[in-house]
Amino acid sequence: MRKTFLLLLPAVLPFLLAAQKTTISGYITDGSSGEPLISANVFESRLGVGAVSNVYGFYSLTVESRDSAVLLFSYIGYQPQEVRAALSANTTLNIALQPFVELATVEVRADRSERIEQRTQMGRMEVPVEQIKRMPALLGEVDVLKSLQLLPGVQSGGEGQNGLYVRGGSPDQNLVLLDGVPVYNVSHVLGIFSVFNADAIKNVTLTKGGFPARYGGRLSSVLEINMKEGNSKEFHGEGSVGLISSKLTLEGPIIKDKTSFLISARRTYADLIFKPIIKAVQPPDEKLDIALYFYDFNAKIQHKFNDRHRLYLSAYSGADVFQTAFREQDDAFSGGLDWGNLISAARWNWQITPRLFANTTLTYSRYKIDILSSQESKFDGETEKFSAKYISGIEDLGGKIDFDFIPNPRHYIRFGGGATNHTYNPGALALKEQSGGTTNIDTLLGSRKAFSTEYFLYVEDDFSLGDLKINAGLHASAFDVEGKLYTSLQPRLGLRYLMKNNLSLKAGFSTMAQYINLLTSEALSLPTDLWVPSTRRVLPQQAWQISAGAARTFWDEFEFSIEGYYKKMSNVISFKEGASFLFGIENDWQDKVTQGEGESYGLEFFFQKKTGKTTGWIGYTLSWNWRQFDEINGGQRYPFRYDRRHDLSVVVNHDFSKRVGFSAAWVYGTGNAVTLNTFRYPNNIGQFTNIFGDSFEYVDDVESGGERNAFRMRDYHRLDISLELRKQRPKWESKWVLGVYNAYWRRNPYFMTTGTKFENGVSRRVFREVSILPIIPSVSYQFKF
Amino acid sequence: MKYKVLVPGLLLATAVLTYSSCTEDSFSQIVEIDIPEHKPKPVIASQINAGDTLVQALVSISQGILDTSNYVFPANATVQLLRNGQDPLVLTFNPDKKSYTAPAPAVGFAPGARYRIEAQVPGYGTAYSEQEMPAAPDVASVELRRNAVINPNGNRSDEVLVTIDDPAGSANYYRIELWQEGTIVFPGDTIEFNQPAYIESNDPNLQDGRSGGKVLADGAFNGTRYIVRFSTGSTWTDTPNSAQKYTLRIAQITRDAYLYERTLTQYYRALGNPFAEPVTVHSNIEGGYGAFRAAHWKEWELR
Repeated sequence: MRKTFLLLLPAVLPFLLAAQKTTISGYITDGSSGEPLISANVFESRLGVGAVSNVYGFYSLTVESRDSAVLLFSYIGYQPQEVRAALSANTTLNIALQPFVELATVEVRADRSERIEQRTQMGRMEVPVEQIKRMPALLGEVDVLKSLQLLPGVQSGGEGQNGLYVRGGSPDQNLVLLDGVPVYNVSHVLGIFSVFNADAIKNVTLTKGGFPARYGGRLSSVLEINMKEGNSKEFHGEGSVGLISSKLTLEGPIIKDKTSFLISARRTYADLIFKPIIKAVQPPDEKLDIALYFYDFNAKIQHKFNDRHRLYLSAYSGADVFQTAFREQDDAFSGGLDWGNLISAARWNWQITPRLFANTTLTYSRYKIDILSSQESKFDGETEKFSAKYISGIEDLGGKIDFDFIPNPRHYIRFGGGATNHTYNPGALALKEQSGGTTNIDTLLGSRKAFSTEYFLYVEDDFSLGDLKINAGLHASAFDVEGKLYTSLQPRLGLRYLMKNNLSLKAGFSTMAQYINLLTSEALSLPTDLWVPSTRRVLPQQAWQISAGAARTFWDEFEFSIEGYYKKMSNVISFKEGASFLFGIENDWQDKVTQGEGESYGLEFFFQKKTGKTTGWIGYTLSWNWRQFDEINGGQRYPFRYDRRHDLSVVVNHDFSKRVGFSAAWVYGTGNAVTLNTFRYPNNIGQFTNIFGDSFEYVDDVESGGERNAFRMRDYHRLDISLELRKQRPKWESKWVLGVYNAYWRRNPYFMTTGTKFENGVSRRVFREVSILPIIPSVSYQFKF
Repeated sequence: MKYKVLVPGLLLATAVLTYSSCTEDSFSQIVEIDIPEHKPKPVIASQINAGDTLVQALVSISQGILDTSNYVFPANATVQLLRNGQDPLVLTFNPDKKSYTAPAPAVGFAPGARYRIEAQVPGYGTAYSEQEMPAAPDVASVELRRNAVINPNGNRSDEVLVTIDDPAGSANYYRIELWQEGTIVFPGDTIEFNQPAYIESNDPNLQDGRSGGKVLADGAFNGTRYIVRFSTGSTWTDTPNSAQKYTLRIAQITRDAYLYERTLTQYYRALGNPFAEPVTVHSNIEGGYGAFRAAHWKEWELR
């Protein structure tokens, strides 16, 4: 760390030497819970300078030395606080803002950060957790990722799916960080529910373009999710009881204002309900056992040593368990699919000087998939056993340090670096066969474990030149794999020019590199997708993106933005034509993939009403998304499966009164592009002679759809609604949430299949789209104490 | 509370639900979809080989995927092969082969010449395609090493090394096939065989082709000397040293031939596998479907 600091010292020295001023610094927190307030404002009106708190609530404002300063601390939804501070020396000023009680219950606060036109960064969207919790949700399960899919530039993969397709990218091109730790699998139940429990989350930020230099490692987006720190003032809890799951979150002080904790757990209970039913109906000589559930567990401890040092320890564990076991007389079969994440982080905040803030993070992340199938039978007194286990996963161990240096109100400099060691298990099949106590087969097929180390350094400055605000930076990364070192220098630039009438013009340019890949089958969507590294043969993915747009706030209530983007990706990865991840597992995964180009461009419109009894937004994206691989589609470019010309979301929340609220979300998207064989033709006629000397003629033929992804599935559209009935007591807040998912029962396509239909004694081939989620009503009871 | 708003809202929702569920099967989650109507087009499948004495082309009509009738092989099509746009060679329908055939031109198929095949099928229009006959592959040497490697089944296997001098400045494509001839003596029985051998190799440049052969693109070694190593792999008998004689055939093929063979192999391999990625079989016929290919072969006997 000291070396890094010394290396970067020449860059920051001029600012240090120019420090003949006074600095006021400290933390801005929520007065009721002690939670840090992110992007809260502090403003010195006489000098006309201000600052914004960082993700830990830390702020630093350096002003000309004078007797005193009058500082106004503010945050939407909280009572502003004016403080007169003496400026004889650098001053530490920790501020606790008190929330507006009335606002909290009546109005939905859709945004609490800087106004849209003031932000330098393009393509960055913050979705308040209150907003996420308010949206209608499938089976009442509040879902962070599905909420993000309602933003322009972000698309879902399909019916009920959680994958985020950001500006033409694929889900593996999203860096999903939970408290700074990468999360590799973000879904439960084959992508239907997200792993993030909204009750344990403090804030959600998605960056889809114009990436500042501090971000790297993925091509398309950065999704930062921070867990709550835990209430350091008093003990609180919240939870819900729903149709498929229940959850409970508890938080409170261990030592008041010094040490706090948060624990949160969620579990589904379909198996607990069905187990006794299955037991009651099954014949006595059969035994069927089913384990079918997912769970999440979050925990966090925060300790404040003093004003300069804080420590955070956080952990998440979650998994899906799909297991069945069947026994009938002497035969037994068991099999299933388990997958899940385990992540943990230790963070240390150190306020080195009033203007220099450091955050050091150590991270561990593991994602694992096990598919197990075993069979046991008894024959002539001998037991025969066969088991097959498919194992795949990725494990990361990393560390990083980030510095925030705020020399004066015109500059906000960030720099830092880090390293992550990855261990990949890119799909292995363990086979074992035993007969009468003798082991006949005991082998491991598939690719070997792979190891790599990823390094990065960055420096960026957010600075002002009059009405022009610039974020310029450089991200350098390196990847050490199989004795080869890949390096990449990635310049970043963001511009914002603030015009009169609250209109700002923005532009952004960024280059990105990605060293790990997710091998995803277009044929199906399973958690068996493999995380694999760049290797000597498989080159790192790279992209550059340029974007430009305008943003404006109207009457303090309405925000409008328009952004256009163009993104070019190279070395994107895909399975080769005809390749299958499951069969031919003995082959190296590298033999099954090919690399090519990607291109996406589009326009995004966003109109949001932020405050009042009625809030919501309209988001619309017009986009094109192409792929080109030398070994796919004859080398011709073709539309990506998720090429979606039109993507529209309308979200409305309305409070009829303090006790009754209504929400609705309607989405529309062009159908996915898929390959469907629509015609056939012969390509060879041959003769076959059997052992009796009889000859037969045969015709080889080919079925084709012309080109890859030339067929469109039906358009997707869906309406979700929910009604909240709230009750508020001094120590207990509760609400019933009644929801309907897919309210007008649209049969949205999930996948396509072919089949045979018999009509009037004649069979004919038919093509079908299968929808998995019909109209689904839900009810849940949520409480807070 | 504004029940005045809620009640009409609920009534509206009920009406929408009732309407949306009034389909053939209200609770079905499966929707039968219409496939775009297919416009039948002529199909040509033909390969010309330098040195061949016969030209053959399969001409037929494409069909919609839901059409279950047998393929039509029209006898009234006009099929011709032109060399550099001239000297049309007319192919006539051969009912036995259900194909159009003609003796190859007396001058043979010259490397560098462009050959165009045209098929005019009454009622379906004209389809055509062009290929430039490649030169013979420039093979510096071939070498057979007996029992040099161990195949995936754990048996010793023969290895073949082919040294190719790849021409610079152009993309070149090759097909390699190996025939094996020999006798296997079983107790009380003797089997003589002469058939394609499966070629096995770890060389990532070698792609699977039809009948155990391989196809190769020079993208990784353009303009240089390249040694292709492969083993005879597991033969159908999987009996070591069973082949007394090999015939190695190497062709320089056109890009279209390379793409067609590679994708066709992938296509047949993926058939019936629900987890396989879709395969688009390469087609280079303007106004229709199928493939017209050209190849220039060389042959070696290896003992």
